[in-house]
Amino acid sequence: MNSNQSFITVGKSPLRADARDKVRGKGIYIDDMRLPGMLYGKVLRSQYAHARILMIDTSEAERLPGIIGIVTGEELPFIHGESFPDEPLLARGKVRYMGEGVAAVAAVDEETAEKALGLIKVEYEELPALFDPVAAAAPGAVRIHEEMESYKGKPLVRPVKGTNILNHVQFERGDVNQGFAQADHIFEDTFTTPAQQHCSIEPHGSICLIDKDDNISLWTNNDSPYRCRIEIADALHIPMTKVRIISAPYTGGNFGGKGGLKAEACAIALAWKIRNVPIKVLYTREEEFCSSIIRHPSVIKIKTGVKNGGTILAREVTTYWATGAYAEKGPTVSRFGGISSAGPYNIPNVKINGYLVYTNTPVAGAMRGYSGPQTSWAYESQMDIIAAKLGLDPLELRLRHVYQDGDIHTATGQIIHAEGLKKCLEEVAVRMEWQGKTLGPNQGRGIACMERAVKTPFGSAAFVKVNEDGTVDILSSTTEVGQGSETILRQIVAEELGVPLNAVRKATPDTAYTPYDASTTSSRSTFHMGNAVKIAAADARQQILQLAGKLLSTDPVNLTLADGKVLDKENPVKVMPIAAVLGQSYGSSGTVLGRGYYFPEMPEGQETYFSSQVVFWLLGAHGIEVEVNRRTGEVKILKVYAAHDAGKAIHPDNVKGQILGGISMGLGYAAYENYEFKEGNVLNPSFLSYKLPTAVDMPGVVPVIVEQEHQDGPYGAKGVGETTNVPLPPALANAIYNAVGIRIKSLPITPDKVLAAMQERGEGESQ
Amino acid sequence: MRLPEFSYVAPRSLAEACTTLEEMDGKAAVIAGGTDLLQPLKEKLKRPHYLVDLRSIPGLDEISYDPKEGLTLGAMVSLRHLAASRVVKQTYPVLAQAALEVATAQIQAMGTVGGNLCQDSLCLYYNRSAASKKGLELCLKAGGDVCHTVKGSGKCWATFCSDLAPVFLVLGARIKIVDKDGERVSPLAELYSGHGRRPLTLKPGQVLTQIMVPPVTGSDGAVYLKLRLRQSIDYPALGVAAGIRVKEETQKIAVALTGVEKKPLLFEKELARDQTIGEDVIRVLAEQAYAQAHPLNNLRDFTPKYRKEMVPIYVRSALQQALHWGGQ
Repeated sequence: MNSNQSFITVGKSPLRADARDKVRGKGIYIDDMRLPGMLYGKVLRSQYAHARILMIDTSEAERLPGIIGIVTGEELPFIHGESFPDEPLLARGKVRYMGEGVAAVAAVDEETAEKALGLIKVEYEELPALFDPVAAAAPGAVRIHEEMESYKGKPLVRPVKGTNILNHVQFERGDVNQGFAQADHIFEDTFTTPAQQHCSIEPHGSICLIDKDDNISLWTNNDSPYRCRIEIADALHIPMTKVRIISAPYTGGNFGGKGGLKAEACAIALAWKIRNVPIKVLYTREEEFCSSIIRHPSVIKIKTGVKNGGTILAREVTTYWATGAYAEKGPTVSRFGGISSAGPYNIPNVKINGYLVYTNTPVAGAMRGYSGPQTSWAYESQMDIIAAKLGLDPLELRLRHVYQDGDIHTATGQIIHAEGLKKCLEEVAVRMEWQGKTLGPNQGRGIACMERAVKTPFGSAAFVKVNEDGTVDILSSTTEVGQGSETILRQIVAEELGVPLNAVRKATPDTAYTPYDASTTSSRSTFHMGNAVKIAAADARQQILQLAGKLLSTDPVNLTLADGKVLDKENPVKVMPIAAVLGQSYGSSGTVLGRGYYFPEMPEGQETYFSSQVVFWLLGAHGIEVEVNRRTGEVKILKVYAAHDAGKAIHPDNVKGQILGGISMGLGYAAYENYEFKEGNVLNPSFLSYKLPTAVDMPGVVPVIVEQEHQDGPYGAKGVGETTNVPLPPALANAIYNAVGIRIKSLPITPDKVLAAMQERGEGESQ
Repeated sequence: MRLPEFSYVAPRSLAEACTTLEEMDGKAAVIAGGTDLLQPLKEKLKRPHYLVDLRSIPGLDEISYDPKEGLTLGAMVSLRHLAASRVVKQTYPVLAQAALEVATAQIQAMGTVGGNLCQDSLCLYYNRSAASKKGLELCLKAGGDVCHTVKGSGKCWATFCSDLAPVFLVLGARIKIVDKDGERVSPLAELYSGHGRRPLTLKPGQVLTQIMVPPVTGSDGAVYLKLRLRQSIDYPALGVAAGIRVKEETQKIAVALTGVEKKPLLFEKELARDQTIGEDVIRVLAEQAYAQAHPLNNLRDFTPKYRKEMVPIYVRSALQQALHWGGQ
């Protein structure tokens, strides 16, 4: 532990590396990149939710001047997917959702490509479509993937033969039936959540160049170059080293949406046919809404048995996840959801069933929270239902059950450590004066917390290259998607090498040069890549000291690095700038290149598949104060208190930024955002009618950083950004209940729902 | 999405603009601030061959007040200008307030008073790109034969959502419309056709150039209340303006609604000048408004039931505030 150590840059909040570029509009994004001879690709998309493709006629479009080529799914016998490959680059045989790519066009400019789309004729035979996950999961339902049994998924994916269920997640501990039998009270509730879109400011975009030998260069704003590489290589049945992924210098927002193959698939489809010329595909906002990725809509049934006095004995949770037309990250979302469906609580008897179900809706996958927003909406709402019925304090009920170090995690059976959740709850309670503060009429307050696993076990590698002028380059495949990793990794390296922060740069990922990293997802970068760069920097440090020892005629063990200099700890006269050490050594002594690799150690004998053991937990709690207008159902959020466990905040301002951003996203999910579907059509695929909360809708937020140091984290740090949105919706619902006594079980919580619920109770004042 | 091709015309005079528009015979669209036009163009909902820009015509963006004539606003006055104008704030502060309720600061900077009054009506089934609409049969407003909002009705039910229209209506505004044959002045209400598909009565070649509001008297009062999900950007899911206009012998109480019909709705009641405006008057207006408001499931926010329930609540609140402002 480093708690008492004083740091030069770790724990400070220096200006972010990307701030100046971005504020001045100088940041380079994929759409700023233009390669010589580049063509522009556009995609014709399905107008049916479920239909057989009978015929595609591209002849008229091909005759349009400026059209270089057109490709359809029939020419591309490839399917892709991270854990359950089932998705073609372009639809083959049938379409499974409205907005699915059917044909792609490459042209000399975007206008021509767009015009050509209108000239392609497609004949469909419509099939019955399924939109609701519960209906789609029923035996005998129309099959969305008739060939599901032939798909080759990872072992963790467990399809149910003959159905639309592509993954059945099960966890069981103790005996829930016995627990229910011993309980004095049984609570059964069903909660639902809607689709949500990431709404990254920058849409998906890729430029693909494929030569005659199948060597692929892909410039993209994908969040994870190495994951992208293997997915492409597997799909195309080519060696992965034939695929080179080059990240765009900056990515304008991710939130999980830029994993998998989206614009990548379209650009590859075209480039596979049209060789030796780069082809760019940039999604429109409408494609972002209809054809990229969404958060899984869900239906969650939760049953809990409680003793008089409030001890929770048993909990059974059954969840239906609508994964849309293709698996995407659904198998792992539902798995994470399964792990945490019962909440971060000591409950002796737990039974969890999760059904990941194909539906004829846009593809659902990774989105900030990755199952957390759905699971916590159910378990944290029900915690307050229990507290209200039994006359218990909701905070007290949580504190009594919440995991603490040494407890055994229900779903994984893993011993809990570095658990800062109790501290998060207590911090929120103190800030909002849970004990003692009196609220006004129609005001109320609510609290909610959450846990979510980080994806485990996955590795991260880094090189730290020290140049002859003493500056340092970090070679790492962590992408800067706005989350601030570039700055955090630089801080860690600067700290380890004793050099100023501005002497350290972070290279843009390129699978040809920057080493392996599993992904920039799951809030894993500060922990995993942070460790990797720290180890690499320590390695480089030793190499520098060795070189300096020779030049200063000193035993390297007597030397240290500080302030950009090599110092002799015993002889203050012996000082040499690192630049001088390197300047004099290069040429004669070769290069200084530190290597680092981090892979979490897991207990032996455990199942090793995806997150059966979890290297750290994402934890947080929110408290909310509201005032409800009884005449209109409008809910005014007076204040949000948000505490999240960062282990150790490497860059506190960045953590606060993550909290504020998370609150905004959680607020959108809680009270504003929704997909308006009509027979599979998205009726609101634009910012005109898809409602993100605006800056003026943001309530006052009190962000609190909890630092429960993690024994394996760099300086005790772990991830924090992914789940800062998660506890907000149930905290809001609990606050509304506290204010006016109504319980909303479906998101989003809009004034019409609140008023209708009050009227149902005979409490509304409407005419 | 990109703008389609069009020819851009910058007439030097109103006469030239009117002649050009008429000659193009429906193939031309007027562009003022562009905020209500450019997005539908990008979505290929409209495909005019020509855009006739009113910004090149001098004199259309002036604000003046005369104690006898009242307030005169050029159609090209920007919403930001309207909100910031000292004359407007001194005479009809409700107009400044309503201008600030429109969309966002950026749109207020570009959007114009005339453009706001002449904005197209909205519908979830219509305001999507031509490409994304393919999944459903083409609706009446998009040139098809069906309405998805009110099935089997055979007409378009797109909702009119201007924030300024109800305010100008309760203020008793008149408008000046110019064509190549001259100009005519009419009550603002005559601008609106009541048809979802084409909400305006303007014919090709006609241009709205001025809005005239009668002179203020000491005890006038007016307010505008807007129901929306977010505190910015949103169109009104319901907008209610209420105004009291005192004349020599009489006083007129007016309520106007937006966002709940194919056109803005106006309800008025005239009383003797010395008569107290009591609960009975408020109730009658609230009931009338409730009866005639017809919110539909074609906007994104709130159920139609909720929006209808909010009508009397907002009308009452608006009237009470207007009376308060008017010193009653």
